[in-house]
Amino acid sequence: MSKHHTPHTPGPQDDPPPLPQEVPRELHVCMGLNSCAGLDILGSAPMAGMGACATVHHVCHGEGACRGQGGCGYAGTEYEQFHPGEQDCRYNGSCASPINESRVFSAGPMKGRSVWKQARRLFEARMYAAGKAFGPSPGEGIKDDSMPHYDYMSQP
Amino acid sequence: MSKKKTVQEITTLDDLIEHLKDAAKVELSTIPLYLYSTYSIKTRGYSQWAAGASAQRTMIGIAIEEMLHLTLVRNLLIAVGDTSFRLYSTDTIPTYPGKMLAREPELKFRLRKLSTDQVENTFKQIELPALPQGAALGEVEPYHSLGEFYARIEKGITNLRSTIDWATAKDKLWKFQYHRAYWNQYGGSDQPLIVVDEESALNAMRIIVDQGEGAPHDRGMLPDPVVRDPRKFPPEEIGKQQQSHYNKFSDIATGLDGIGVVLDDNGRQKYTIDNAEVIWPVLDDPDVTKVTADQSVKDLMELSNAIYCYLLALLDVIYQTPMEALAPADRNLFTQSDRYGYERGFIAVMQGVLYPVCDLLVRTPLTKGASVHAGPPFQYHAFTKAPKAELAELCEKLLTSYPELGGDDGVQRQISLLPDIPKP
Repeated sequence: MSKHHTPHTPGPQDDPPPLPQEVPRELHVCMGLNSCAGLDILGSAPMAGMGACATVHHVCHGEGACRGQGGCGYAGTEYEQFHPGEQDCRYNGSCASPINESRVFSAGPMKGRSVWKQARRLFEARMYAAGKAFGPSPGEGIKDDSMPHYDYMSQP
Repeated sequence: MSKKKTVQEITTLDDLIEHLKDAAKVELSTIPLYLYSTYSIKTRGYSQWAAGASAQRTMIGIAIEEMLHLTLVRNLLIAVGDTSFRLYSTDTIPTYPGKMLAREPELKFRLRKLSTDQVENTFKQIELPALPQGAALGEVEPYHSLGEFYARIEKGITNLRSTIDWATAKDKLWKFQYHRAYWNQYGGSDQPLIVVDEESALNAMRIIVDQGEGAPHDRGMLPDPVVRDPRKFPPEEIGKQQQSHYNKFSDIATGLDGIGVVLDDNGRQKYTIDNAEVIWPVLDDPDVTKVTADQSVKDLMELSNAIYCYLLALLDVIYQTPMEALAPADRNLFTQSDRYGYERGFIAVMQGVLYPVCDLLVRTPLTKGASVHAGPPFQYHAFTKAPKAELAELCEKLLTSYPELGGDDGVQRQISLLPDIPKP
């Protein structure tokens, strides 16, 4: 194979560039769930628990690429849905990330209750267990009218 | 004597639209029936040693599929150009006791707790398997099964091939249909289809029939997702099947899909759906205007009516608000979208507002110490102001009697997160 190749000049016929690909240093499913300073999506959280948003975005059940990526609330078994942001391994989580603020559990012991609040509860328990300080979250999930790119629609 | 009368096949667009509106009313009328019985189940969880699936999960899966059917019908209504249909309307919202629309023989619809009688004599009758294909097509106005009714609609879609403006449906009207925000872990994997041509229209109608009662030849076991073309069947080794509603109700009636509390190591179920230990003693056909109950209970029933009607009005708003057309590869991670907010709010009001209030009702005696409990009436509620503000007001008034509605993670908070919609 030749070492030389023609320099590529982007043109109007090209597909748009892909979504930002910077690899986050920590994977979490919503705001207020980063485990250390600077590990949020913007890299500017002053301490744990103060991040602005999720560092992973995926649409549905079983699509998390690593542990702890289940957003929960829409589908999944009763047991799975108890653990937003705390699944044991890849492909093991339920539902979309990030978590929107009105999302509630559809099944399990928290049925009808806020998913983000349970994710934050579990996060805080982890922080206490680890002996780490954490700050207040900037909110309780992304706004409902904030549409993630994976739900964009185009003409059928 | 039979009330049958001979009618023409569907040959005009107006007639097709009227049939679809009736179909939407039929689908809507089944949802409160199934939800009411589901809410009446006391037990949570399910023994891993019990045979079959959980009756509660099966019921939830069926109710969600009825919502899918309603969605498919309304998507088709939009695709053929109708914008007049409203769910939040006294003409559309069913009353109980009532009867299944235009069905012969007459089938009574009553809101009742889950029981063998309700499953055998109402639920299974709704989903009665179809007559042999084409047997009654276009011959009778009253129909004997939903399959017969939808067969008439399918034929109408084909008849009107040159009349329906499919180009406009594909170019513009798809944006007004419902597609996202649908999950059903206890049901088939079919999703709300966007209807843009004759093929997608017929597929949408077939999903309704096949999920409900099964096609005449498949004995209620059908490929999942529904496909009727054998050339498109998934390979047997990876294919899966779903049961029709009729079969699922049969399994509940026989106890195969049970309550899940087992008697011994053989997995024998300790209770049936007719036992008081596992089913709340809710009253039949609750009517907030006639019920004898404590005032706080009546107020809670009225709140449930208002929530149900907000939900229907919100769906009407969704169908009037177009989706944005954005390429999936758009570089923005997020886009502000009113339509998306309505969709998220719709899911949230079902799961986080309607369910907790209904669950509270079925656990509450009509009067202090009474043996009969309340239940959600699913009645029309006339809004006097913006619906969200009215829900908040009704909820606030109930906090003294039912403090669990408030708090950091209660119904009151969930109402505050709902989208504002105009007074219908």
